Amino acid sequence: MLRARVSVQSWLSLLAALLIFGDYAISVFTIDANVLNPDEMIEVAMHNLSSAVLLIIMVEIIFQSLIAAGRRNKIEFDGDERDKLISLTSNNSGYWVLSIGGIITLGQLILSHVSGMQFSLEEHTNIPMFEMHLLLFSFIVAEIVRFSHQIYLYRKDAV
Amino acid sequence: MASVNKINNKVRECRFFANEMTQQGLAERVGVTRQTIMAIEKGKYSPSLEVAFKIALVFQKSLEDVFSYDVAIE
Repeated sequence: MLRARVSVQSWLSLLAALLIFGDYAISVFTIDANVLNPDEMIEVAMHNLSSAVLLIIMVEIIFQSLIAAGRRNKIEFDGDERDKLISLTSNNSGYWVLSIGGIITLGQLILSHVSGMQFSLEEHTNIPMFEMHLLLFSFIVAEIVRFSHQIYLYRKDAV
Repeated sequence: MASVNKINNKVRECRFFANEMTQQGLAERVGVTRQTIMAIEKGKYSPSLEVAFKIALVFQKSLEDVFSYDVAIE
């Protein structure tokens, strides 16, 4: 049972994040290095990146507008102290995932450029601008973790 | 030896004696959502002092009459 408008918002955001993540992951991992030349691959990768970012922004705007239009009172829309606590706790989980993603990306850059190790995931995966994709993946996964944790806390009445 | 502290409340009982006030009615008067009142009643969420005072004020009772703090030593 969906409980509050805020948890409905979490469900919608989670669904949107999953859809965007799925679409983005499919488009990135299906780039065929044998068919495209490096310039074309970068162009396709840039297109994937920009469309994923645009989709995230558009979906957030649409959901927020729908929720604002359907609001009954200020408390339901803004949330109360418990909603804020749940939001804070779940933001913390998302932050950890994003931090780990950032550290992995930095580590990968440092290993391949500074320490002289010629290990680059880009060469193994044939995905152009791998670090950028890694960062965006981390961001999307962090969003998924954040919304999932939020829903878990609402459903479990854990806070 | 660990101590388990728990904030108990009589919000459900107070609502009953206040003409069976609804959770929504109490929530609106306190300025929280119905879900928060539900979580407080179930003992799943301990409200802030401000909300606790507001709840007590709605029922015209003192804070101690509505909320109590148990320290159970295990």
